[in-house]
Amino acid sequence: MMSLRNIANMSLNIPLRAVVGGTNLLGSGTNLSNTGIVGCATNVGTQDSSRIPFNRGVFISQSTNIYSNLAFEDWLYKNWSFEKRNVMFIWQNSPCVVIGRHQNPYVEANLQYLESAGVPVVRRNSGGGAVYHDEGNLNCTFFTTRDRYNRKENLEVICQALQEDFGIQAHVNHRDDIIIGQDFKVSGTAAKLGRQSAYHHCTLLVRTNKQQMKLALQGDKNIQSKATASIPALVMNLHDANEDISVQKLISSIGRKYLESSTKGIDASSQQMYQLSNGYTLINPTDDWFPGLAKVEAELSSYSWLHNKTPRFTITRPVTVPECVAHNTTVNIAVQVYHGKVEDVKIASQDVCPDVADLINEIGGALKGSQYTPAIFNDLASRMRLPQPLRNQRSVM
Amino acid sequence: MAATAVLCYSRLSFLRFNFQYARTAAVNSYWARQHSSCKRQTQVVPGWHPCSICIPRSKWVLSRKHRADRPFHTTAVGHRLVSFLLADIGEGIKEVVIKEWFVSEGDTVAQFDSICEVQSDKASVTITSRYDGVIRKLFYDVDDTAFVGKPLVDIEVSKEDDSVGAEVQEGEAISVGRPVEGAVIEPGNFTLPTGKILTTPAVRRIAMEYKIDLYDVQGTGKDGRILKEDLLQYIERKKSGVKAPVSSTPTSPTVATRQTAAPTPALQAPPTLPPSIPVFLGEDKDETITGFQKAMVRSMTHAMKIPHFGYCDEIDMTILVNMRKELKAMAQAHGVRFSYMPVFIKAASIALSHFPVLNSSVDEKCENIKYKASHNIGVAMDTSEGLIVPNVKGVQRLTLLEVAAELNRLQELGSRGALKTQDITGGTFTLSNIGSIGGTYAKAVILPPEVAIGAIGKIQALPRFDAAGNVTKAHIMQVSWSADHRIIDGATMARFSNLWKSFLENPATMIMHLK
Repeated sequence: MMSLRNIANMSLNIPLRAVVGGTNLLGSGTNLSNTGIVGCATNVGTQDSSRIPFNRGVFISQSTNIYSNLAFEDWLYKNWSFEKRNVMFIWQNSPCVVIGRHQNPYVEANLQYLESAGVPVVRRNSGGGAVYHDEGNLNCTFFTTRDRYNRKENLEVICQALQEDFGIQAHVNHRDDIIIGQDFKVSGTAAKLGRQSAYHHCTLLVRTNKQQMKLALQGDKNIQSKATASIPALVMNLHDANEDISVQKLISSIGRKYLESSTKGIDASSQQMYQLSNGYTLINPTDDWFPGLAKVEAELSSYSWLHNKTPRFTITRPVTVPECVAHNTTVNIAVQVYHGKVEDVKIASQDVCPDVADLINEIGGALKGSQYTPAIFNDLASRMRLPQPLRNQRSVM
Repeated sequence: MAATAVLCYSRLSFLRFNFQYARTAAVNSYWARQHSSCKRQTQVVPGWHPCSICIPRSKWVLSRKHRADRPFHTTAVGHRLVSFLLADIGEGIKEVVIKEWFVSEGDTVAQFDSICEVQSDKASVTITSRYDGVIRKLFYDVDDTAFVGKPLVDIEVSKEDDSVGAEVQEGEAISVGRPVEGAVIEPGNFTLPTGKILTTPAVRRIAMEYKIDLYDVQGTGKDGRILKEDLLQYIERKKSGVKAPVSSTPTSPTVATRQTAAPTPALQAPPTLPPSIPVFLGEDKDETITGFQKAMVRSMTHAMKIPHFGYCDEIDMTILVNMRKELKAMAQAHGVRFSYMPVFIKAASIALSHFPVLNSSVDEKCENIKYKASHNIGVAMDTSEGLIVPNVKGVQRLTLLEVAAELNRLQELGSRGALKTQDITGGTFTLSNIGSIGGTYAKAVILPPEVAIGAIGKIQALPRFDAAGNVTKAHIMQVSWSADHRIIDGATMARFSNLWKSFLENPATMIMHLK
């Protein structure tokens, strides 16, 4: 069997499609579409790529690791040219929570619960709100060039697939959610646009565990921030609308619909479009196949990506002053955090006795610039017990 | 004066650190105060002073003239300040929120460098710079709402930069890539998939001045980066008239050797290749195996792990040859080019239904056999790129005409080099018509995961004895089968071959098996 790594490497170097025939002499049964990760880049400038005839292909991920899938999405966005082809990437993940690029993980997710449950929280590259993924949730990413970016068109493909194959009446609302009935949301959308390429991805709740979802997405309400806020909505599973539906069936249905669809202006029957399309490709998102993927994955799973990209926020919590300092006092402390580092510590309640206030300000000053963790409030309280030089040290104990 | 200079410098760096999100008005007022406190006679010296544009990495070039120029928003001679407006994001969006700045005031940017990231509802957009230059002013803070069509940043652009104001079409030197038309195989060199050139803005600038396409320059840095030395060397070479090494050499040697090897392709109605040209190598030539050849190396190495056995036979094609004219006319009426190949394929399919083990597949360890339901019969084709084996899917339910039509389609695509993956994968049985080029008996190599292959020789007119014992002219064709001896025995292969032979020698028997 030809080494799969070589197929990928070769397709990276060889732009000509016929070469594919040579590499695929031993069609191992999996439909590997090396129609060439084309070395032909888009032209510099404003060439209207909507006039270039293009094909469509569907990539299906074989991994359920959220980091690998997100890394592959990013890799494809940065390293592929979509001028000659549009790609739909279909992926599923084991349970995890994914927040938008400019969101605050503390606000969006119940980090303590998720840590104890072993569910990772991941920040993705596109904007939008927070979502809970598990095996009953399907993700679709539509890759196109910047000029061909059209969210409505993509969502229409999904709605049509739901309607024709499963008889589910779904429609797209003004916020680009897919709604069933009046107000039950089954899909959320987010997008990322760059200079030449763009992608739009959405989730689809097929058979998700709604209890888990609710518990996972309960964030901390005592935080003020300008980070993108998630807009809560009533959700339902597609399975509730049609017992027959399953993730696998949905994948083939949407895949077929996507490959058959044609853009406006191109007059072709769905059969023809399907024939002309590039079909399905199974993707194994590892570094062997896609050089550079491991680096992206490492960055996505790093602590700093999740925490140090958070926009400025202020979290206010009550802290009980130790008995040795003051009797029966609880003070509300507001900690301002920017990009994961403590920027400012202020007292948020009125009528605080000046000694206590001074003490808190002193310790707060010492804490500025350190990495924020939820344990900072306890840390503050315990520092109040310590004598002078130890109190203000960077790392105590 | 020196002391004041030091004081100013440290204040500068302090301010720059906290500076990023301050409004420029505050900046200007600071500078005004600074000047008044320093009590310096500031004179705008109208001399062009090299500032950070031309020395890309030094952002803080301290000199009195330089500092005198900077705080005033009047542009020094030789540069102009361009307001880079926030472009339309699309979807009728009028305002967005700035989420992150990737540059700060005073940074040098090249065209296409990322400036900031904005978010509109759900879409996160990366805004890239249109110009080369130095960022002079950021109009918004993080989390501010920016308006489409209003200035986003001010960039100080050097006057020599002609691309300012023009749409970024021509940028030959700054081109990020260009469409690759005929270039086939890139030997060895690793280049990024999109043809993106890795260089610094300084190198791009020099390239633009000399009107050099960065694509032509060989990069010797990490990941194929083009270093300044590479560019300068290229310029030297160009000047002295030597042809500079290009990063993608066309594969003329491979094409030439291929032409000597295969004077005519094995297509049914072949477009004639030019007659083979002999290649005279003055001395030994080394070449790494890449592309098609490499693929063949791998596949054949793998295939030879299968224990092959061969079985050959001759087939009397007289009746078919006599029928040819009629069949051809009938096919033409349906708009299909006739040849013997569809007959061979269809006969093979009928025979395969009697011997399903030949249409099967084994796994790597040869522990399980999978009997394939569909007869996807592959036809080996020799194209200008090399050996390709597309297959006709589901022959068992196609009529002869449909098989012929499909074969035509594949041949046409193959000659253009436009075969799809679906066409090439999923084959279960293969026929190779080497006879169209020449030859009688051959030993074909099985294509894993198939288990059998047939090589068909050419049809020759030979003398044979007929039933009455007289010598007649017969059209004889040889066939050589190869099969995987782990699961197929000689008897099975022989019986299959006999059945196939009987269909071809007496086409009327195929009627018996019509579905």
